[in-house]
Amino acid sequence: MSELRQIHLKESLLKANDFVASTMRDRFGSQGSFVVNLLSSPGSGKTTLLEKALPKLQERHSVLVLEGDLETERDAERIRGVGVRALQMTTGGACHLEAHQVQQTWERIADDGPWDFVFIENVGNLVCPASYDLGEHLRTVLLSVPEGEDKPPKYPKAFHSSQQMLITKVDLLEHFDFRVDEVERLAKELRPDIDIHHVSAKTGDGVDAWIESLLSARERLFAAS
Amino acid sequence: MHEVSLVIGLARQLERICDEHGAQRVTHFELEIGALSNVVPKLLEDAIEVVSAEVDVMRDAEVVVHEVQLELHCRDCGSITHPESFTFGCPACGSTAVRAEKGEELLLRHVELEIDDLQDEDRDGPSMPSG
Repeated sequence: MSELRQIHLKESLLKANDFVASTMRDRFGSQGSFVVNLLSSPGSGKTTLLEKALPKLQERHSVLVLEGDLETERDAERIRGVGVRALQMTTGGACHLEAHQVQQTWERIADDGPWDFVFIENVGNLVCPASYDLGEHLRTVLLSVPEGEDKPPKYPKAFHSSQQMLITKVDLLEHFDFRVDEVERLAKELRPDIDIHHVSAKTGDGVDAWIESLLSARERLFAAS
Repeated sequence: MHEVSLVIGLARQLERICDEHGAQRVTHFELEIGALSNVVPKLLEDAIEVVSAEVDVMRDAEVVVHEVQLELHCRDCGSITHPESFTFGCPACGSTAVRAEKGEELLLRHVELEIDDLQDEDRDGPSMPSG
């Protein structure tokens, strides 16, 4: 004989990930680390921007980069090339990072800190990474000028879940039919309070302002706690 | 693209729920998938079909996927709206002080378990399936 039992619940399919992420956010915070999760399509210039910005940030702060890629150490090597500590996390083909991968990597590196800033460069993909909280304090989505204007409505979750958007490669604006106002309007439809910056890793335009925004976000976080 | 990862997580959840209730298998389960959850219901169902063949407790279980549309609540005028596009503004008063009350769900909301009614003489019972 067997019986059938009905169980009503409201349990997130991401419960396990979200639990680890929330634990990690507390740990990062208690260790004074401000964590930024960088999301974008492949080729939007995440690594190039970090190469440009982090040596400046590192003049006064300790900085660590966790690189997420399907395969290879190439991006981590590029970051190390500008004198910034970087660890590679390869997902073995998976399209996104999950919180437990960040946790495992953090176990290896936390004692070498304290790290004032930790940048997690997610796998280049605007779909899957948007669903996974990694325990970050700030989610920053990058959109490069050559990609075109319509990325926000095509990938609503990525823009809705990000507190900050960087329009990258703005040195190319004159060559593309890319209306900055329109992109900002589309992003704000998804997230009215999104903090927008325009940067060019090539000319350096906007990089200092972005660094300033990170410094004040970190200050706000630790002043509040 | 991450639907398979999600379903592998779901399989672990179902195994845990079976364990908690001393159940042998899941016969039926229901999911809620919000329009803004970043999950394509069809791909999720395909992933469930593939994964459940490998997971004892969910093999042959019926699945129902409920799609949930975006529902915005305006903090300024109190309107409740269901915009077709993902526009986080109030269609009634134009305020951007809106909150997505529905549409971001990615939930397991109902599970039907089959529990063998073991009599005392059958103490050893069938061994628990493992995933």
